[in-house]
Amino acid sequence: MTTLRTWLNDEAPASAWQARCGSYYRGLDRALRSPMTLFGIAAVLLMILVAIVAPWLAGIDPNVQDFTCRLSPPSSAHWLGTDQLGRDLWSRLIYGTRPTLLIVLLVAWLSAPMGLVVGICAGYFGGWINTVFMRVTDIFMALPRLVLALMFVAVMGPGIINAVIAITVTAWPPYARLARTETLAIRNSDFLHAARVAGIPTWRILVGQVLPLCLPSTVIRVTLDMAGVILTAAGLGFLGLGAQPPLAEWGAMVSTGRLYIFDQWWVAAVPGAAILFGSLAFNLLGDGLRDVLDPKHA
Amino acid sequence: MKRWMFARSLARGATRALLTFALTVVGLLLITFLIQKASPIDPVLRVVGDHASPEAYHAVYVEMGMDRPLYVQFGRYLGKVSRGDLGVSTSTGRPVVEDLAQYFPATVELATVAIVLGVLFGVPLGMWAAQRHNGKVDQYVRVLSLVGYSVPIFWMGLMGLLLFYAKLKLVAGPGRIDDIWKYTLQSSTNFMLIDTLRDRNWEAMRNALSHLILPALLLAYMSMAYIARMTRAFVLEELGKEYVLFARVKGATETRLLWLHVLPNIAAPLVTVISLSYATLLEGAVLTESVFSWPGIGLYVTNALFTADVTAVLGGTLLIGFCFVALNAVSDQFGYWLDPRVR
Amino acid sequence: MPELIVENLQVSFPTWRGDVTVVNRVGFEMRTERLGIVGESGSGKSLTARAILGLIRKPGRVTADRMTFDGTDLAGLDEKRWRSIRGCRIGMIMQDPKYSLNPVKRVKDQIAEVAMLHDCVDRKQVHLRVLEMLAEVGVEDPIRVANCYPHQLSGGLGQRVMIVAMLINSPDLLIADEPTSALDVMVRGQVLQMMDREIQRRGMGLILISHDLNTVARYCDRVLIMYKGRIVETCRADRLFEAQHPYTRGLLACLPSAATRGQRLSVLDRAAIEAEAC
Repeated sequence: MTTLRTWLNDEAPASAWQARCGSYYRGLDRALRSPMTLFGIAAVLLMILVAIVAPWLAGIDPNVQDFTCRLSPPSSAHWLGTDQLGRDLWSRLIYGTRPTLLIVLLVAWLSAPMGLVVGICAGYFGGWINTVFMRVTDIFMALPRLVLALMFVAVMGPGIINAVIAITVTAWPPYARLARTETLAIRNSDFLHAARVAGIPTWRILVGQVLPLCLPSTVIRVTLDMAGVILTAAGLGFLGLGAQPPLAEWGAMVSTGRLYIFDQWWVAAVPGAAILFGSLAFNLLGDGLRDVLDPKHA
Repeated sequence: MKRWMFARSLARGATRALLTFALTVVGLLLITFLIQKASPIDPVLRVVGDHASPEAYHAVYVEMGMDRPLYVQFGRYLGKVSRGDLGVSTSTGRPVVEDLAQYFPATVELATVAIVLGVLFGVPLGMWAAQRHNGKVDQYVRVLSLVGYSVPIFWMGLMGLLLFYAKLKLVAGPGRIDDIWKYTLQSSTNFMLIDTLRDRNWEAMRNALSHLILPALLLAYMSMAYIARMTRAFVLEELGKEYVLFARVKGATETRLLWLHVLPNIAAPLVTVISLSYATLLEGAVLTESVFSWPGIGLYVTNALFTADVTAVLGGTLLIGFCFVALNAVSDQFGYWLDPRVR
Repeated sequence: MPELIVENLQVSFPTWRGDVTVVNRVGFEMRTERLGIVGESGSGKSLTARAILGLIRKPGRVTADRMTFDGTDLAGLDEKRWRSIRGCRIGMIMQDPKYSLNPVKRVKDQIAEVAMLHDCVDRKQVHLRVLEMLAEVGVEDPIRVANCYPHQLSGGLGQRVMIVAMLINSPDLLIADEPTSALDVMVRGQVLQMMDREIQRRGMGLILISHDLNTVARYCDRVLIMYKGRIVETCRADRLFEAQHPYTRGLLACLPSAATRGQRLSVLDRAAIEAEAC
């Protein structure tokens, strides 16, 4: 083990691979020292775990209505109490991780590649492609995300898929900008020239050489954005535009709990705290990743 | 000679900004237009009803211009919007523009008070944290900021109402002003603070303030979180620069250094950050106003959503979108002007 | 000029590999003289200067057996006392005026600030004094220059502005940290001559830090050679070319001159120097 660590901490690395491993190791070390980052990593993993084992963890079906004990406070039967239809809040809280994480995952999966493609092409090919792509990116970037998503969902009908599309449409521009900046920085590098001279087809160069260099900053940005996506999705849920009832979604739960806020405040408080937790987790994770992958911005 | 060149470069920058702004607004309109076109709901049916005859349907179809090619329809749409015709709300029965004019001041008032508070607290806090980098203050400020932009605003509003209104009875509840005062006000700018001031109605003003204070403080906290974080980042970057060292060599105090030396240097990006935060507050109105029953654009749009009043939703979206884009453009220009190097 | 005494000065910084000492047992004394400090990048010369002005901040650590200026112990000073010394009794100019001057403030305000911070010049006379001094250092159009922003000035003008800013309070000692490294070769001589003239005229002391042996030999009375944080040799400037230490000899040998034209330039033999240093 010590030989590995010596190898990683070597002041004069013998190869680029060794240097990169060393810097990642040091970054990881830095990140793990920070309690906030550790909390972020643990929190995100917890959320994912909970979403997966939800049925076993919840115990009770989240959609079972029981009018005999509606709006009851936390008790041994219902750990977090019940909502206005007598549904168990603990169970709905657990199951609520699913739509949230689903939206986050889908938005990330759709928007990041979109942004990367636009940005890399704009940066690599330059000329009118660059101008057109960047203009379009600038226009999308200047649009209000929540309000536009709201309008989209209002017109197209509520539901998770529409919410995802709506958020994705305004989420991709930052990645395009980022990818373009990174691409421009290396566009005239020797190794790219060498690849071209060697006859490697352009798409291969872009995917094999340019793309990996854009990934670290994109990953950081995506993680940080996911915190905002959670808030936007919850906002849409609050307005009744996200996951539809009876699906347990935190934003919608806060909305229904609103009516009973002054007496049975836990109905709204608990799901909201979960949203805060989720958003916080991704923010911390993103900050931690930034420490690992991009230390000069720490 | 120099002044003429300066004026010319300023004019050039301004025209370019105006062009970008116009293009972005057109982009906004295009997107909203396309979304409407992609809607599964048939707008003609909404006008004629389900049981209309094919002739009536066709007549309305042509009248609404649906038979023309898309770009022509878009042109008509652009024309209508630029004339201020945003349609008629199906829930209030009034032209949407009138509705917006009535509700907009409330949103602006709340957002403005919030941003002022946010800046007043956020900038000094950010500077303080940067000065004590990695110290206790820095940690607290970072955690405070972190929570500030991770918290869902509508939930915080609810919790705030619960705590400060229901339990502690420190502030007034939902609404902008109690009904007693609402109809006695003579001035009618629809900005409560201005109206009560002009009427010299101090009771009413106190009442308005007690309604305003909670939502304003909560929104201020959110914008303060973002502003403090960005200020801290900007200041930290400046503190590594040589002119800071030179200022210390001159014998300047740390406070003087931060406020008189560093702040002018970060003024440009800071203005951009503040404008962005303001725009976000305006946008977030759709979530906060329903919680506080604050009669602004947000409440208008939310109500329109529940009554399926698409025209009103569209109108509200366009207004907020327009403000958002305008603020972005203005803040960019501001940044341009504040930097003497660019001049 | 009052005496500056430095004994056993050490500056170290913690890194993830342990503490690194960048200034190691440096000591010297000076009065009204021009002291040169020569060394390559990383030899610790700039940090020595910063330590004298108390500008090394955490996590850097500064220790010294003795560090006094005019009898005042510099090692234990609090910030308030430091501020009364900086810019008033000891001044420092740095390498590149484009970075050292505040980009968003006019030059005249930046110079006036130094005067007003220390109340050494009558407030009403400050701006007049600024213009006077700009003229004294060879600025041809003081009014125009005073109203400029730093990015509008050439390197030479910028350095003159810095020098005026540091001399306006008539300090006792001026530290010049590579003042001409960022300037055109032709301007260097002018700036150095002007600086030299002002120093002599006011009876000030000068610490000139440079990596250029010729400059130091010409404009200093005494020279300290630093290598890896240590002073390896001290000698009089006019005796510089008789220096003994292998590092100094190595540096001297690296200087290109007409005499060695056509021959291979020599290179420092670090192994020999390390052996000698230990």
